[in-house]
Amino acid sequence: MSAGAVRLSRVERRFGEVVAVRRLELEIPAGAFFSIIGPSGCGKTTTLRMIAGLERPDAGTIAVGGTDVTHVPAYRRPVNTVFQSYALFPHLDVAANVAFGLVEERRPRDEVRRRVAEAVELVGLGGRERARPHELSGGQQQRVALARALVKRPSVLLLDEPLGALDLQLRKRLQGELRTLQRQVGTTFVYVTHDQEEAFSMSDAVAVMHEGELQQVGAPEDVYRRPATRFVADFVGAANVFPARVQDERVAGSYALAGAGGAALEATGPAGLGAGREVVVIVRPEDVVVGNGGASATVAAAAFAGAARHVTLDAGALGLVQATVPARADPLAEGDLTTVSWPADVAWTIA
Amino acid sequence: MNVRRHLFSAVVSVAVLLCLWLPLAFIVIDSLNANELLATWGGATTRWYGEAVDDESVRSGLRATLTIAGASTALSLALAVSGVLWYRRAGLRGRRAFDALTYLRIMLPEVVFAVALFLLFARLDLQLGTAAVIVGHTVSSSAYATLILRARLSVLDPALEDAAADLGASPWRVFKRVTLPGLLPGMLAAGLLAFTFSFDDVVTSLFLIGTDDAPLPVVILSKIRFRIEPEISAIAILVLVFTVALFAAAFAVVVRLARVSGRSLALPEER
Repeated sequence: MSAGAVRLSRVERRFGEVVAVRRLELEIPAGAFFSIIGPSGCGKTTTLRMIAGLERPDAGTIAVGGTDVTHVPAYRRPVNTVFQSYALFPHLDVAANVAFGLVEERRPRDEVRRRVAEAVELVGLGGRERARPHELSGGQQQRVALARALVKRPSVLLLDEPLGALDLQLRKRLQGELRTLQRQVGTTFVYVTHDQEEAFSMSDAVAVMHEGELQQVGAPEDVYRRPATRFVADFVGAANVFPARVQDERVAGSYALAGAGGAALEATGPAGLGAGREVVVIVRPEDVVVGNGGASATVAAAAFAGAARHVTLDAGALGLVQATVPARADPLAEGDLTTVSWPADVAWTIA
Repeated sequence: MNVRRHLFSAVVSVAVLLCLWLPLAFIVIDSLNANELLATWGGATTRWYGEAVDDESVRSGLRATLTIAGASTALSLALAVSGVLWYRRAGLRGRRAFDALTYLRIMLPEVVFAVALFLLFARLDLQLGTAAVIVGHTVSSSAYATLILRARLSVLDPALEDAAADLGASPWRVFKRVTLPGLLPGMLAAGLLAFTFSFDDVVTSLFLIGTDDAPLPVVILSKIRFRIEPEISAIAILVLVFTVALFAAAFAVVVRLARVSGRSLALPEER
């Protein structure tokens, strides 16, 4: 059993009065595509920079590949970074940019030439070796940044919002390419983004951060279906949130609850929530079933959004319920009377 | 009304330009005048240029000038580069003090520093001479160089240095491979400014040169104190040509650098 590729223990980082990262415990498994997500200012980039060695933690330890690197400067760490701005050296051409790190390692000339050629080929930039960064498109610059880091064969590759500056179509394509590339090279990728959809589609696991604190770590589906906190529930996607009180835990992790106005609710949740506890129940809009029994509701608003329809229903005591239904379903108009329900196993309880 | 106003400003502009450039025309004419007394046109000659080039005091003056300008430029650049690198990491207070000291060196009259250095050298029992003049020129040259490099550094992306460190470059290697190339255009401009400042300085040089060979501007000044000769005009023209050539060369390098680094430095990029 190998130690994780990266391990952060009780890591803390302050900037003046502001705590950027608070008592962070995180273990990133070797070979994983691991994402750290959260809104801007949540501490994700600071965390990445601490792993890179570009930022020193005020407390705690950082280990890479089982070795404590807390006091090792950036240039001696076996990790490399793809920067948000790419940070390509403007006075060097593509080949020289990619060769930069190997030159610092004092690799023999032949090896540098061979590995640079391989890396440039790997990211699909063969033939552009003599181009200067400013002659390349944003997507191409991003690939150079990737090649420049990967050519060093780091044990961990850190990526700081590498697709942030690109347009949507290119983003989508490069997301797929990055995932494929990661499988191909087998390096641990630590990917920072504020885009949860991007993180979900690429990652084996994601960590959600908020105001310097780690909220949850897990497989994308776990985080989406079983968020640990209100913040995570909201951040990773739209959610209906119903305040409720626990009545009874029937089996471990399966609850009967009383919603607003005493409405009976059923939901799954973390085991061990005591009866009488005030909680919230969340239901994703796409899990809401409209017009198939359940509570009666009035359509308050309906909007067509291409692939789906977004419907807002007034369900009386429960309050407003957002539902996402297939676009081909019977169109509902404002004021229509219908019903709203959801399977018990999609409702999730958050303490 | 409009036409008149334009006419007026046109007349004024032409008059001002004439005042600025006519003296230059006169020294060109003087330098080619075969009449030694310059009272009347005595036919064209290049004799004065020959005399200027052969004049031992001019030669030693030029040697002194080039030595002083070269050394004070190098010193100014070294001070400015290390200064702005410190400045970047300095706190607010340090920055303020640094700025104040920089601007003061530009704003205070040159003669004040010249006198101050003169007295300082005397008190320390140090000999005046070439070295003293180099120090004197560096006082203000390094301040100009600092302002130029500070501006240059502020447009450099700090992520570039992070990237270099991340790729395995030690702090010294980061400086050498990333920071210095980034500063190069600024260093060129600053160096040029320092060089030309030193090249035509009289005040500081007069105060501090002592008994060493005087630099060219001081030589010229002492020559006109005796009498106005066509040779003086020839020397002036030679200095002019040299300066223009220097700037043209520097300009060519800047344009080249701009093309290489893909950024416009002083001018909008051509193409």
